[in-house]
Amino acid sequence: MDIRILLLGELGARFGREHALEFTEGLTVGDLRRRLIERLDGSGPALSGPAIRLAVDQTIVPETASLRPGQEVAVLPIFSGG
Amino acid sequence: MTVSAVLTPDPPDAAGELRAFLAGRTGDGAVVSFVGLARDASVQGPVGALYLDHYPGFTERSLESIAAEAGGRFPVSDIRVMHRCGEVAPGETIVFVAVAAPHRRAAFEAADYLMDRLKTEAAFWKREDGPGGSRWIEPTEGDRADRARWSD
Repeated sequence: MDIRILLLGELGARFGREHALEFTEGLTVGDLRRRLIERLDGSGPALSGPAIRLAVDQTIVPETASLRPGQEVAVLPIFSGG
Repeated sequence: MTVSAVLTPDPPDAAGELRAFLAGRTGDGAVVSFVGLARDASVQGPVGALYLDHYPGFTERSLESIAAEAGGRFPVSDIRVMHRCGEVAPGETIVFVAVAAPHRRAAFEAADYLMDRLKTEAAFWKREDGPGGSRWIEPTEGDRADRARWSD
């Protein structure tokens, strides 16, 4: 099963809100981010900034977190607040 | 204590919410409410509409946790938070906050705290649409300074 990816806020507006990448054994959240940057032209600076946080199934995790097939990864720019 | 925080795509009826919040309240001496409205201009210029992007599930939990922390921090009885998502037109309500407490100081402070945290930490991504195009915005220095007042 693929990993479903959701880009929030300006990232979604610029690069598309929903994506999917194939799960491979040993995949981490950091690997996924690198693969996404390769896939989305010009997304490197926006997706690798220090303010970007990554959530797996709704919980913010570090880059080293491992993924399982079928999980959802959300790429969260800095919150604007309400 | 009842702490409730909800996300809604429709404009909250602030007057109706306040009426419901006040109804039958006999043990509290104070209710403080706050209504945040969308403005038709920002420092960047005219604003035709706001759009609040959210992450379903995650954003609701960010509202709930801010409300719960306010309830743990101040001697208050009840808290109600309603927050918009999606498209918001100028003049419409973006956020409604109400706090009830036995005494007014706690109610004022909890409402102030709630708004300072909602303005910086609620999981939204806000876009202003104006005649010159759209811009995604971040908390201002003022918003961050307001939030920092409550740092332990």
